[in-house]
Amino acid sequence: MPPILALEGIAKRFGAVVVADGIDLSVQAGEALGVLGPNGAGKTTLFGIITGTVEPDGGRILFAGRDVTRLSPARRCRLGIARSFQIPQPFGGLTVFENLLTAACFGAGIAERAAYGECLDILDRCGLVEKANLRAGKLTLLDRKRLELARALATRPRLLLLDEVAGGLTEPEARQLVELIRALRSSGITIVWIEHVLHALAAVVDRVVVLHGGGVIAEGSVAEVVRNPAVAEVYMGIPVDA
Amino acid sequence: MSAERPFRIARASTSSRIGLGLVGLLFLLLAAAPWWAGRQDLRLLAEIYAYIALASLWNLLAGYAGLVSVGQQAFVGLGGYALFALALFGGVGPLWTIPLAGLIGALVAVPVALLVFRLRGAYFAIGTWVVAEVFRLLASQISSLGGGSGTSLPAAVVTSIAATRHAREQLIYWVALGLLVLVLGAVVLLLRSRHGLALAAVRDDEVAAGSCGVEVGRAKLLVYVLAAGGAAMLGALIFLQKLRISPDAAFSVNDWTAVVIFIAVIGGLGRVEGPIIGTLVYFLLRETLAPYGSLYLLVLGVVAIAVMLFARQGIWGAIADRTGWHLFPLERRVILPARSSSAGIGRPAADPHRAHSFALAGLIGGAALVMAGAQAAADRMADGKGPWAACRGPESCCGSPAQPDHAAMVQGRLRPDSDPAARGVLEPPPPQSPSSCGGHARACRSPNEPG
Ligand SMILES: Nc1ncnc2c1ncn2[C@@H]1O[C@H](COP(=O)(O)OP(=O)(O)O)[C@@H](O)[C@H]1O
Ligand SMILES: [Mg+2]
Repeated sequence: MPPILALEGIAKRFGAVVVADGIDLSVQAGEALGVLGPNGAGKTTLFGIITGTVEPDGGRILFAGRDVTRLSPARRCRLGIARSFQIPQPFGGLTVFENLLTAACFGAGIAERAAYGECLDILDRCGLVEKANLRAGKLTLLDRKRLELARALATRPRLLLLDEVAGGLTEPEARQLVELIRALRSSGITIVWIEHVLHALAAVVDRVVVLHGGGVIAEGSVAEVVRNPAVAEVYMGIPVDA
Repeated sequence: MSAERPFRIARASTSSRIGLGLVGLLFLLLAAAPWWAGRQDLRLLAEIYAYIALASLWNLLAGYAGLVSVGQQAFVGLGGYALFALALFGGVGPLWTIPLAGLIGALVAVPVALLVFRLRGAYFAIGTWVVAEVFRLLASQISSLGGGSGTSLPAAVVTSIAATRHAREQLIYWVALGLLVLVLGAVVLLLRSRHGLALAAVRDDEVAAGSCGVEVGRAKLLVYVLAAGGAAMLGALIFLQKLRISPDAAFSVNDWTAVVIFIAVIGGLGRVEGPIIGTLVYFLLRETLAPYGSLYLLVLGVVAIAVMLFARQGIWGAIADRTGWHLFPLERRVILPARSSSAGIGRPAADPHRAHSFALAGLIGGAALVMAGAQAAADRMADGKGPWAACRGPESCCGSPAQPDHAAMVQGRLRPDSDPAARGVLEPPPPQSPSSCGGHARACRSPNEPG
């Protein structure tokens, strides 16, 4: 079976800033992969390239063996790639419930009425069901982050890309989130998770890659990469609490 | 888990039930207007309907799809010319040209979209305007429709609508009301459907919409084509009422876009109710300021810019923000019997992603109006006429309801209280004199006359 996600020679630069310089990466179906790297390393941009909102300068993206490099973000979403946005991007004029309904109707291709129950279910799991009728633009930052995850789930993803969803959570909240993501993984969803909260990441993923300078500088378990001298160097000055 | 919990999805709210009830009553009242309103009132009402419809379509474009078009006059004019061409050369009954014009507008919108969709933001706005100017120039090349100076509907065509002027005016009034119901109904049904979710998602965040499976480009194209078809139908209606067309009147950026932007922006973009409120405010201002001639354009421009600076959400936005009211049942509310007491109705939030395009729209509209006002004022001085002398364009004064027949008189070369059908419409124009302004001491000139 081909890997569910394969990046081949992905290159991207913004002017003089090289964020990807021939990145090769593959993720097996059912795997949970962590992504580390200092701010500005290009992690979020890589998610944009995978989901189709950022056009790479070179390279190919394969999803379950299929070349999706030229497909629209919407097509990729319908194939099963979903993401959360690091800076939440809710549909502010719609209610929380309608945010999920949009994702279910268009991302998962379910008829509106058939999606009601599933959307409420996801809201319940993400701790948002009491806020179903609130305008998403009125949510607190924390609830917006919950909505990011919930809306991504409503698209019925096969590959879920999470961008710093644990930042700012209290300990019990972080534990709940970890439980939820583990449950998603055991239901068969492949996870790629960008996260600075290392103990949360370590509780879910088997493998992490560290991005820096446009390439993968280290790979292994969380414990292995934090001991890696190259990683220690790029994080110099940034405390690593693992 | 909520899947086992009973739930219900409610579409209507108290405010939307009251709102729909009021809208229904109002519709009945307005449908009966020929029995309680005078001719001039009917003309004014029909004009109001056309503007509500045009503004609703523009709201769909700019408020939902983020397409700040300054070129909708391209399709209004196209519809008007389709009416004349189909009626004169195709022998199509004038009322039947309206749906045909809509079809033509929608078809023409597809290649136009392929062109202008390559442009973004301000470039898109300018691109649509350029397309409309090209259309105007093309129309002025059609010599069989009077070239640059335009033409009138022949008496035979006019009488084919209805035998008497009275019957014709009633019929056109009802068609105008019907078209408004059609456009508003289509907008409400579209926004109420799952496609409404997609459009609202595009309105709020294009990138996130795409990542949630919404084909943003396709949604925009759909809205553009719908808005073009609607504008073309309205164009056919408007020029059916005027009985006369010229490239300048048909493709007027002031009448069919600047005013429409003003209406949509002050009413509140991205909301169905906005264009209705905005149109009412516009006509209130126009009627109040009518005695001051072209000055009203300046006032409108200043009002539009003020709304942009101080009340981005527009009038309905400010109302809905404070009250949570909706006239139309667009939203979906989850009713969970057991625990949902705390699930309140939130209020719409200001949207930073769209704010810039709204601001752009408002400023373009405001600036266009100020420019039009200033130009009219300059013309007035250049003409050396009295302070009330300047009239420009069919809508700015000649079409104003203080002298509602005036537009028809000047443009259709009619005299007061004479049926064009009975007299023949194509006689040479009467000499322009203050008395031709329906008793008001104004000298009006047709927009296609050299100024
Ligand atoms: N649209 C853009 N235009 C220009 N520069 C960008 C854009 N998006 C990201 N960048 C730059 O690319 C680099 C990587 O950004 P990002 O992918 O957000 O990093 P990370 O998520 O790893 O912190 C940063 O230097 C950022 O400023
Ligand atoms: Mg990032």
